[in-house]
Amino acid sequence: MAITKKPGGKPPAATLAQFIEAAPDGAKPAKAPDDGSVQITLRLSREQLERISHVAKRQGIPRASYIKRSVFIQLEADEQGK
Amino acid sequence: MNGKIITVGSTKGGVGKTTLALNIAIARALAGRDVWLIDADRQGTASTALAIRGEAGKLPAIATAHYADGGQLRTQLLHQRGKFQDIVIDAGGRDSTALRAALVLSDLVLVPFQPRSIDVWAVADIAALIEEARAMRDGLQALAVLNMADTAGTDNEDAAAALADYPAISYLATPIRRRKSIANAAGNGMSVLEQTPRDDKAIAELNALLQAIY
Repeated sequence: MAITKKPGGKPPAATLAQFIEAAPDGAKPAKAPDDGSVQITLRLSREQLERISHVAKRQGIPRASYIKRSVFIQLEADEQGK
Repeated sequence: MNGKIITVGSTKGGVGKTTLALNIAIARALAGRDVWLIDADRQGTASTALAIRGEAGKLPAIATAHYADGGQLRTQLLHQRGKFQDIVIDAGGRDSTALRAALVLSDLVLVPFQPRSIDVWAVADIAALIEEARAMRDGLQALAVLNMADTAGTDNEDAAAALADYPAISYLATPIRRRKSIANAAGNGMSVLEQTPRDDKAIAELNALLQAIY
């Protein structure tokens, strides 16, 4: 026989998990921010991003949370310095 | 394990999944098999029935666990399936993570349905899920069996014929008819095989089903 079927192999675990969690009682994606919020874009150099990623990882928190927290700490410091 | 993982599942409630799962698990244990009955339904009825069985000291004892969460069910099943010869999962009543996890890990899904129009319509939902699961679980066998079937009339045949609309599921012609003995036995954590007085008709139907699936 000249034609053989493409080997299927096992589906990746992520695909299985996605199928399972798609059920109505499955984990839902994080809630979208409130309508009253705004989104800001932060432009950083690659080196700055790497530094931030490194520090956030060392502190064991997600990078986005670290950046958000840093903004508020800086804001508080600026207001106290007035 | 050298046996099968069988899910008794449906997205519809009230079709007799738990009673059927209990009867299959106990029948296999009576045949000397080491059986694990996983209760994947939030209501935990199968676990309750087996707790009643345990308290009554009825043998053989059936190992059981209650995993209503799909992730937990999948993890535990992968870890522990080697310890048992046969595994029966009671899952569903609705689309859930536990039902989906059971589908992708089973060799056979047995879909009980009653000979009523709304039950036959509901088969469409589980058929769609089975088709999805087959993309990840090669060789998942799916059989529909009439449960709580009528003892007279033509509705059984009509319902079986209507199943042809769902090619993902094959019809298994070993109906279990509605009998008080089956319900009473399950309420005491027993199979109809153990019930006294004996109900020979119910026993014959269950044995025919077991012979067809094992």
